[in-house]
Amino acid sequence: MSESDRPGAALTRRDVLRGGVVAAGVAATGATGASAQETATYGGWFGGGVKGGSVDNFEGTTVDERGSSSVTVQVGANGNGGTFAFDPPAVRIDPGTTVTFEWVSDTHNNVVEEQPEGGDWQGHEPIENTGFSYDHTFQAQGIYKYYCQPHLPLGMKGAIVVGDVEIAPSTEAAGPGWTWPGGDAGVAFVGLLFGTVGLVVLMAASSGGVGAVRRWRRAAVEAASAPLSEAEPGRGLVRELGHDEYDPVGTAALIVIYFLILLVMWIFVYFVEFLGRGPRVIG
Amino acid sequence: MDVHRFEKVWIGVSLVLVVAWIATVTWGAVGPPGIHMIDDSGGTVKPSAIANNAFADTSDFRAPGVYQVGENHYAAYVVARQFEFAPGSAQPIQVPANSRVTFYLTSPDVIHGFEVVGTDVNAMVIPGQVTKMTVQFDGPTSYGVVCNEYCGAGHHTMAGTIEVVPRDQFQPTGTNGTAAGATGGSA
Repeated sequence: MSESDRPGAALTRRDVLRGGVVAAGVAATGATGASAQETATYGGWFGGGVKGGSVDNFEGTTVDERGSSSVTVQVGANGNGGTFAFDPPAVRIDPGTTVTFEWVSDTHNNVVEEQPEGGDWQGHEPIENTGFSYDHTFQAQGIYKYYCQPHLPLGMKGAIVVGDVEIAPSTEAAGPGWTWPGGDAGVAFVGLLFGTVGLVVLMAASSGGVGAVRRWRRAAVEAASAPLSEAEPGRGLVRELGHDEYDPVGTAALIVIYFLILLVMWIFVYFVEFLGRGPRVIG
Repeated sequence: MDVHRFEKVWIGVSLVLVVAWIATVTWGAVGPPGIHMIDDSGGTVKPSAIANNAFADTSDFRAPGVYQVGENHYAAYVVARQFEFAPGSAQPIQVPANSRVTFYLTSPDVIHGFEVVGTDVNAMVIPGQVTKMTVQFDGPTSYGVVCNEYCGAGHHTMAGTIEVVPRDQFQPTGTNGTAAGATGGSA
């Protein structure tokens, strides 16, 4: 679970996390002397609020590759709901380090969103497929932000930090998450409302309601099974009509209404809905 | 069988309506509205050529962009891929107002849709096939374009824009042909 896709999540929690990760990083450094890790959110770049989707494969850690002479970033690694991730999403390198971008799945590119003054990274805008790679040597110190155009909405974004520059702490630009209207009072009110309504429904069902339905059903069954009374006065044959002597005027009126509805639908569907929604394919 | 005279009337009216409906659709297709069915006249193209941006190797498709092909006739070449329209998503497809635009659409990966929202311009984009359709645009406005064929995990994000701009603000964006000498589209 990434912190970055929780814009507005309590700062304290992130701070706690940062502290924890830094501590873990320090511990790792102490144990092995290998790279340490740090956390940052790059001014919300990895969140969902600035541009594109939130970066689910970024868990708040920037991989520290200072001291490495060459660094590889995989383009189209697993993440963000498919092969839509840069791996690692955030990496810190020394100035002058060459970074190789290696395509490990299809249909990706690198578009540079932001780079420090003096940065000369062009990214790679043509869409490329598995097996393609290119490299760039990063000289200017600062933070480089980039993304993959086709998968930007899915959160395929990355960052490269060159040198010992400080990464901006969290200033997630997204608005606050959804909260109950009225705060805690609102929650209490909705709880009370649902509780009361539920209680009333339960009581009604258990006492009067069920009994009333039973009584109604019994009456209906009795009515249906009652024998038909025979030879009621006035039900005999009174007058016989020939086929065309009777005019079903009511039926005719109904059919006229049907035809009118069809006519209106016809006009609406074809002339208003279809022809009225230009432009159309004309060739 | 006796058929009541009322019934004779409404059977007759029904038949007239059926004939009228067929006549309406026929009139729409061959009459002034000129509704056209999209066929296979766009030709074919190797999906790998599109995937590798090797547009020079194809005869039925050109580098994505909008080209002028006639006095008031333009050709818009659009690649639909997982998960963008190029052009369309990153940059809008710009076309001049009151012009006739022939779209050429294809895909390097899977089947996509190209639906200009709220209009009757709506087609499938098929790998290996060039979808060709001509549209008459009116005054300056903006349309949304969505993919309406499920195409993968990011399908719901696949959308773009068509901007119909005043003629004096329009710049052809096609890159492998000049405005005057272009020969790509002649629909």
